[in-house]
Amino acid sequence: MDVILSNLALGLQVALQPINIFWVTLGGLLGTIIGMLPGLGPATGVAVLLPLTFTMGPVGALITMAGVYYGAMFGGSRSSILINTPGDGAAIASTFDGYPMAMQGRAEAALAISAIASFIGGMIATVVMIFTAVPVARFAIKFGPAEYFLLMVFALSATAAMAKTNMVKSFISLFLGLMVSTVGLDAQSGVSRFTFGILELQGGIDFLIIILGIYALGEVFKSFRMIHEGIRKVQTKFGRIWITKEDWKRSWLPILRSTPLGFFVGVLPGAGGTMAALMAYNNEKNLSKHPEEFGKGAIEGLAAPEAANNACSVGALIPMMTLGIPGSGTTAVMMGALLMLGLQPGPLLFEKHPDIAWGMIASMIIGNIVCVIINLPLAKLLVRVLSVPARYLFPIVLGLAFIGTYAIENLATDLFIMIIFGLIGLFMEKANIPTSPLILAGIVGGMMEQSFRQARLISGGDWSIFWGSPICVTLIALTIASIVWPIVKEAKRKRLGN
Amino acid sequence: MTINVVTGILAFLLGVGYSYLAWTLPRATVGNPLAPLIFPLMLGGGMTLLGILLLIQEAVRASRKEGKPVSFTFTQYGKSIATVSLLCGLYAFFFERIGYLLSTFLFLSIVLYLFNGKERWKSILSISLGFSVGVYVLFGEVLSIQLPRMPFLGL
Repeated sequence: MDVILSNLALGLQVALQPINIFWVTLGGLLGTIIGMLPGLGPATGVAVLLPLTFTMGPVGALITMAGVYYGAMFGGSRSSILINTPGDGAAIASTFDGYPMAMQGRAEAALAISAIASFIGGMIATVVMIFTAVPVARFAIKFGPAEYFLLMVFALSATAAMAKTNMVKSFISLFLGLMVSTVGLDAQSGVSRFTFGILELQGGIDFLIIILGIYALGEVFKSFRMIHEGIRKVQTKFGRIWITKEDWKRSWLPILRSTPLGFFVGVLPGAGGTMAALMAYNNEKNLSKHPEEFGKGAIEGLAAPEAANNACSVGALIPMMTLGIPGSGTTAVMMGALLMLGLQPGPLLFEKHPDIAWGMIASMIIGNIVCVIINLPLAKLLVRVLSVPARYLFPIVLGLAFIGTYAIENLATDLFIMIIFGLIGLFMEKANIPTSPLILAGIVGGMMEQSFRQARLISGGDWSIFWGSPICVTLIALTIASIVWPIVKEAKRKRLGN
Repeated sequence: MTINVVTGILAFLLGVGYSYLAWTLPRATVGNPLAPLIFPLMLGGGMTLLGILLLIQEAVRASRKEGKPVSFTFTQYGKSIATVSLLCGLYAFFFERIGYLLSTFLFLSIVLYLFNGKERWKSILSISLGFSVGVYVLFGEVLSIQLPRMPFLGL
């Protein structure tokens, strides 16, 4: 307990430095704006804004990125409420009751409760994270390379199996990501793999390029049908953005119930914010005395998914920071940011760089406060961004994707690679193949292979090392369960349907 | 042919091609000579199997007459996507050759023109100019990341 408090004090010391407060505010503001724009979620936001942090030093950069991550979560629901278009997947549930509220002239209350619920959800989750991060990291230190390899296998297959589409296609996406991660010079043997003699590929394909290609470029391609739409009418005149006592009475319990739910969904690999928000929404609808009001502007139907979504985004950071294994596309991008700054997330991050690990956690508290300030009084001003028509916005996003890619290594070759991944992303969208398994596999693939080879080296080539310890057996069982469970569930559903 | 059949065939071909490339990789000179190959071979094998699995699934679905065939007609969106992809390629090609400022200004002007038409030329020019100069100054002056200069004028 004392250790945790002293760590937190260290973190707060870092986060409360004026320059770092400035960074988290800037990040929160930019993140809110990007999060609001349809199609651009936290993952794209972090990826596009990452080059801005290259000269800040690791602490400042990470704090800014945490602000962007957080801000985008807050911002995503602004557009759900006002124009019925979620800023990112996780904000879909906020359209169900948020938009009807705005239609009934209660946009102020909707904007306020979404910011308040997000704040409470994020805050409670951060406190839980403070107390759980170190024990998880300590446990993970016991993992040998074989356990680590299997942990990654589990995390990846759970992500692929959870995807709502055909599981075979999710696994194709996953394997594609792993294949991409094998391109380049093999660090252990010096063998150059799959580079086709292109010198620039020797260093491998940076996953940030994949992310920018699939999320930024791919999103623009996907959204082309929106481009010829006229200007969206956005409400820009608001009364006081706040809620009534009656609203609060209806919302506080759903917020408190949805927070732990969102947090747990976040910690699990593969589930993510969309699922957390939808689960919280359905849960409240089932518990409500007036389920018929849901979908027609029930304030608790907005409060619950908002709290769950933000709690989930904090929970999702736990496996990323303590194990080095991201559980969602967005946390994969955050991990990319860490790696870019020369920091390896994982159990040792808390031991080797406590100032950075705890500085980031503490700045989430500050970021949460900053974001609620940005989203309550400044909401009137910020929502004007929503009236920028797509035909101006998308070319600018293209420009940002290019500059972001070039700034990673100053190589023009990377621009071509990004375009290729943009087109791959577009094809995957057309073929209904989820992209998050590809992103996740692309980022952990390198480490996965290293652990695999280290394990084989330790055992002298004996494969039994992969099932030689209780942790290994548990992880294999979990992996099998994560794949079999959805199949069994689907078969059951079909049988009932017939 | 459904889009899943296309995906299945692509996955199968990718799996086989990748496995072949992996097998023909040079062997490691230190340690186990096969060490750099094993993981890629597993991936290639896995991808091949997934491709076959998807094709079998589709064959079963086709026997039940489900699924809709993929259309190869070019829609309006398809055309704009192809045009913009081509422009992206050209932009990447000229990025270092004619410098950031000029290439970005031209790229943005053309893409904005495609979506907005020439009546909005004032907004098009001001956005393209503002973005390219703004980013150039931000990166060069504030972030000290030098973007490619024009071969002439030195900007």
